[in-house]
Amino acid sequence: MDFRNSSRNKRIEHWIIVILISSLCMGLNFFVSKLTWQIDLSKETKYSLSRESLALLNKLEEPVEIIVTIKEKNNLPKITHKFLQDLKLLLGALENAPTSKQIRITYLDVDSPRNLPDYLSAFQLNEPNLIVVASPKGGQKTLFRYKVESASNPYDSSTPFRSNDNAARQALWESNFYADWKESYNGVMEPTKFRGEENLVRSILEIAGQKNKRNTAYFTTGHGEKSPFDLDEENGLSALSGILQDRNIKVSTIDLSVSKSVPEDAIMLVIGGPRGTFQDQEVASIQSFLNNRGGKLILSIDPVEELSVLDRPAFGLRSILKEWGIRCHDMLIYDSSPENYDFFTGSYILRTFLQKNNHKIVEQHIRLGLSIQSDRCRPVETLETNVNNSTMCEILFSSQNALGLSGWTQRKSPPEKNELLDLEGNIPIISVSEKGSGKNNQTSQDTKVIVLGSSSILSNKYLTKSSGNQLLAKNIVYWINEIPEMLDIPPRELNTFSISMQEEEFQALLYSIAIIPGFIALSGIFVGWLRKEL
Amino acid sequence: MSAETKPLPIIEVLNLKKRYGLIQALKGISFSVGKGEIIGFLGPNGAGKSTTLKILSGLIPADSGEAKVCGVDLAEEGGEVRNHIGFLPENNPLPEELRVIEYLHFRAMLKGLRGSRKRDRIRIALDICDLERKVSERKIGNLSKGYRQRVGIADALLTEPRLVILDEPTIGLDPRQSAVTRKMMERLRGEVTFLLSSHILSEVEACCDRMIILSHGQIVTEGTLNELQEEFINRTIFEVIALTDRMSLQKSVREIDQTCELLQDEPVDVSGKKRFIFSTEKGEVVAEAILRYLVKIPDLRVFEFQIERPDLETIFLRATKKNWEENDLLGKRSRRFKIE
Amino acid sequence: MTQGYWVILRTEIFSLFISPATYVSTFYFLALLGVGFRFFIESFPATNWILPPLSSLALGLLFGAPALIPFLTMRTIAEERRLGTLETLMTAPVDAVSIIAGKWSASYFFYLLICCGAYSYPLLVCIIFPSQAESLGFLKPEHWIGGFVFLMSFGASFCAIGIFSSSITRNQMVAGMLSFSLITLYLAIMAFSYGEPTKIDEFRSYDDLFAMVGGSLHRGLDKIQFFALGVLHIPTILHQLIVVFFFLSLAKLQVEKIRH
Repeated sequence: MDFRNSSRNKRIEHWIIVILISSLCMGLNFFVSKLTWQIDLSKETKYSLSRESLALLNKLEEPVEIIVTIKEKNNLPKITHKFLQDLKLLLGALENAPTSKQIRITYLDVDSPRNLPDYLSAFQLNEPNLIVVASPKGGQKTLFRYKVESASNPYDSSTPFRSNDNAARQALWESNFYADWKESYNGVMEPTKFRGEENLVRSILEIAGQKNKRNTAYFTTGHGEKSPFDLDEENGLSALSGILQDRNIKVSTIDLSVSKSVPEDAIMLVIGGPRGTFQDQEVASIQSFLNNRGGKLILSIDPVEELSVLDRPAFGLRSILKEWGIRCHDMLIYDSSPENYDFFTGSYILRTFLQKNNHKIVEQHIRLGLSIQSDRCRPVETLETNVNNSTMCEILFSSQNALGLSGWTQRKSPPEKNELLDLEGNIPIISVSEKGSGKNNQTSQDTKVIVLGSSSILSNKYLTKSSGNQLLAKNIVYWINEIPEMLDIPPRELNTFSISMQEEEFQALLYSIAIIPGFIALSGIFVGWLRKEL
Repeated sequence: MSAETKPLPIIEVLNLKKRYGLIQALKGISFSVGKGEIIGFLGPNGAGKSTTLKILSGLIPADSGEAKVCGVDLAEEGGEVRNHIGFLPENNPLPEELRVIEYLHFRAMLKGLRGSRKRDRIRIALDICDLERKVSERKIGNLSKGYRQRVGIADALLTEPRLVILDEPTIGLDPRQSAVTRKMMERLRGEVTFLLSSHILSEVEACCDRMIILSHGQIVTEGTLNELQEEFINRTIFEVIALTDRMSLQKSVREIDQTCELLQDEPVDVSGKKRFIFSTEKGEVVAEAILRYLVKIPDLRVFEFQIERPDLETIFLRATKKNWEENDLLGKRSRRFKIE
Repeated sequence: MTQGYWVILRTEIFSLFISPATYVSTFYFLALLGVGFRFFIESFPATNWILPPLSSLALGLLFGAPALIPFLTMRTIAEERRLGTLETLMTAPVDAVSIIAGKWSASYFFYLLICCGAYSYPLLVCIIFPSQAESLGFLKPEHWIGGFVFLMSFGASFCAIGIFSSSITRNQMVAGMLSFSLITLYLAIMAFSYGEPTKIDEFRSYDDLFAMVGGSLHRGLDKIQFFALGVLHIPTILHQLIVVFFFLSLAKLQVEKIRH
């Protein structure tokens, strides 16, 4: 062999070793990145899944996808960063949990030009800032949605100007990921507990646990009701059906006069602002749905203008309502004080809640001071007498100055109070009634009825613009569809860090900090002196 | 060769080859060194002295050939040999910022000495190398070249090695300093085998038992000084200073020894004295006979007569010159042209 | 072999301790970090900072590493090669592994010492202002351990990068700049991939390949969120060990090369 060859061989040999080491390290990296070990040093291992969750997750029947389309950017509000951090820790723990079926976490950038991964193409995911739990068969559920209002017009009264931080806070509030919000050092509400584990585990179970066939909300048709598929900005109910779909509830319509009975898969009926009367046979099937099958009912009912329907009060639904302890007068609520009306849109602002014993639907409204907007509305009272073992509750009231006008189409304007027939003062507008089936703990069989005194409260008109109405709608859906088997997953205490030092204390700190470098400088000098040549 | 007859060779080298890229640094050298010898490695720059020493100390591997040092086969376990030898590398690089004593402690621990034995050995090594206490407290960076060299030698002697390899131990030292090195080797003569490379000939001449002359990666010759003189200068050279002409002197010399050659004649001074250099193949006896004969002839007017013994320098030059010519590419080519 | 390792480690630490450059760089580094720490704890509530304030030190030390590590590593092999003392070292019965491992351990040890120095700032806060320390979350031992383990793992790989840079050149300035650039590059790649919502599960593009084999290069800095809260993410630590192994083996190859 030539010398030249030999030296070249040596060099090649050297590079081969380098390449071998590199590929060995890359291979090791590959295997290590498949590992999921982590050691939780925190007290009570609060960053790992609780034993309850692990037990529940072992019952999964299908693999679960959790898709997060929140893009981590620096300009996100601080609370979103915090949320993302909490979420990441939790998702990491979920992904690595020993579950019966795989839980796969995907962080998706919906703006990127890359195609969706194959396993996600079945789900419609094109919106940013979502957290979706989905499974191939069990459908999907949106746990968190946050719309960035990029260009809100400060002169447009219908969309109040809000900071990103505020919007993010609201989205988080509504998503129920955090609990126990407390006022922090500068008056901002900060959460103190993270309920993400409970929230996610619950949704995972809903999606991929034992199947609940009853997962459809039926909107009645045939009486001039508003349609769930109507995207109309005024009268459509598409926003409400969107909220339902987010919670993995399918939306469909039903004409009860045709179909005789409510279908098997129905979990709830929604009657959104009927204009015509319900016939006896329809009322009977609704009654049977409520009484025998633990059905739920959302009824929004507008004041009646036409005298023709007055002979059957509340569009013929009075008998049902009476059974559930709710009375729905054919009245109109008249409020004489102009401050209760929105100056620009003229919508009626409802901001009176029952202080004591508040219902969980409006609990957050009370704490946040949110109001609910509405068009014309009618009173929805509960009866004093407890019928049918159900518990009733009035949850939203008009202002003190309001009058409930009976026979209002014939009244003068401004109306004078008819002492005999009219209602006065805080007139209830939304009432709920519920009854436990009592048979077992399976309280998803609970019958729940909510009656709203105006169909506009849940219509697109206000649901898309007023955050109070949005929260109301979400809470109604949440309440109606509440999974009764309460998961006993404890919320995690959040760390909050703050400092309250005086300027002098900071100075003192700086001086004390200087000890360390000073010590190093001195020891350097000392060592230098020691090493000096004698 | 003389080394082969000695018992227990401490170094045995057989056909060692090493190349650096295109340059064949060693072209197959073989020699052996007995216990207690002091061997001088001679050769011009680039002859392969340092390469050989590095290979023998296990620092670099050879390409082919066999080498055994202190009974350790270098090809099998090159690192092992470092436990048995002391090595002073060329230029003797030392960490500047350490004190002498710290450095020796570090080296002693590296070589596996511990506790009181470590302290004793360091003391002895310092003592052998004439490094007094004051010097041992100084930083190596501030020491003079001679002291550094002694630190390096002290390091080489730390583990009581059977073999100490010194690569250019006296380079750049003044005569007094190199005398200290020589003295050190004299003190340890017999106990320790020294293998030192140098191109300062007087140095090697003064203290080495035997020398190996390398040129162009080959051993040109080896042996004691006398052996080398006999081998290389097989003619006796004598010098005559006489006030005569060349022809008559040569004629007179040839009367005793026909083979005697006149190598050189040159005038010594203005008086007409000339120096004549003769060489004969018949040894000093003949040279003495010639002297006695020449003195008897009055015409020649012999003033001085001297029989010269060739020094190492002559041997070195002659030995390496022959080799040099063989390896001179141009020379080879020109010869080839002549053949063609 | 281990004996040679310990001796070299001791001597290397000793020479770091007697070298003025170490003191100067440590002094400046810790002084800057201290001032930064003081202003950080004053201002962090107003910023987007969501991690425990203690983790600011870990990040400070991590991002300060490109400036600090070269001072600890650049002299080790480059200078020894230039002076030739590496060859002297090789004449003693030690092998290249001990030399590399010893030198790496020494600089790593010193880096950890500096980390300890930095962590004494919050310790001082705990001693002088106990109530503030509580509200700042300094009293949670898991935050301390998590942050320090994070630093330990990344410090190890950075020191290995420094040793490697030092081994491939004879000029210590070049070695210093090389390790500065390599560590900065390492940090930059980790920082650029920070929070990018991709998931490694199937091979779809070269990005994914990189994510699979890149180890901590792919979103390695994210894991501070785990470590800062006291959750030790074992793969990250293993990734760093692989990086250490990788660069130290390359450095060993380099050192062995000079023996041929």
